[in-house]
Amino acid sequence: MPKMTPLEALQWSQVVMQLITIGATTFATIKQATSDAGWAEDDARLLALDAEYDRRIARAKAAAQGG
Amino acid sequence: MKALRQAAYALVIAACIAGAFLGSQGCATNPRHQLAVASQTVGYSLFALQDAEDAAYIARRCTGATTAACISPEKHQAFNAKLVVALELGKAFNQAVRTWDHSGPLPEQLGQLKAAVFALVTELSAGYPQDVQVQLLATLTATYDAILAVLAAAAS
Repeated sequence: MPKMTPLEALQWSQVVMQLITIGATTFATIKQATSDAGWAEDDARLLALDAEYDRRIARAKAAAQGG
Repeated sequence: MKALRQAAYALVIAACIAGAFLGSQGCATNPRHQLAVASQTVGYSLFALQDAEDAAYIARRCTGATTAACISPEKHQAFNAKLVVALELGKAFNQAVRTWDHSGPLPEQLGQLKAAVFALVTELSAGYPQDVQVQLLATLTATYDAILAVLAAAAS
């Protein structure tokens, strides 16, 4: 096999750099999407819990007043 | 051939760096998520306590004179008065978690909630039939443990 020329070595290093850049960009995109989805999911659950608290507080207040 | 080997090494190193980053950042548990889970644990265990006390009162309500085997309406009312305080603090904590910026301090409602839950323990310590008391205290322990777990995690 012939020895790699400086130009070929440069091309190889560019390919590697591009692969790293693509990998990093993909990771950042997936991480952001996962984080946003997790935040929204938590928010929906906390909102549902808030509504349930209202019902429970009303029930406990009625019981505390002998209802 | 040598250049190919070097390129392969570079790819392996890049994969290792990406893997380490993924492990340390991407898969780390979000502090807000931890608080959200804690808020749900506290909330649903308080609701379970309310349901358990209600069920016990319906089943064991004193119809004549108050005895050790029945629950008086006054006791039921006193318990619910304290439960209202705990539920309102639980709700305030839940709302604080929703808007919590994880760089800020832990919502202060958590400390107040701990005190309110402790007041419920005191309320449960007398005036209930023993089997009901044991059941209610066991349910309340889950709430207390969830609060202590969050406080301990914040302190460490």
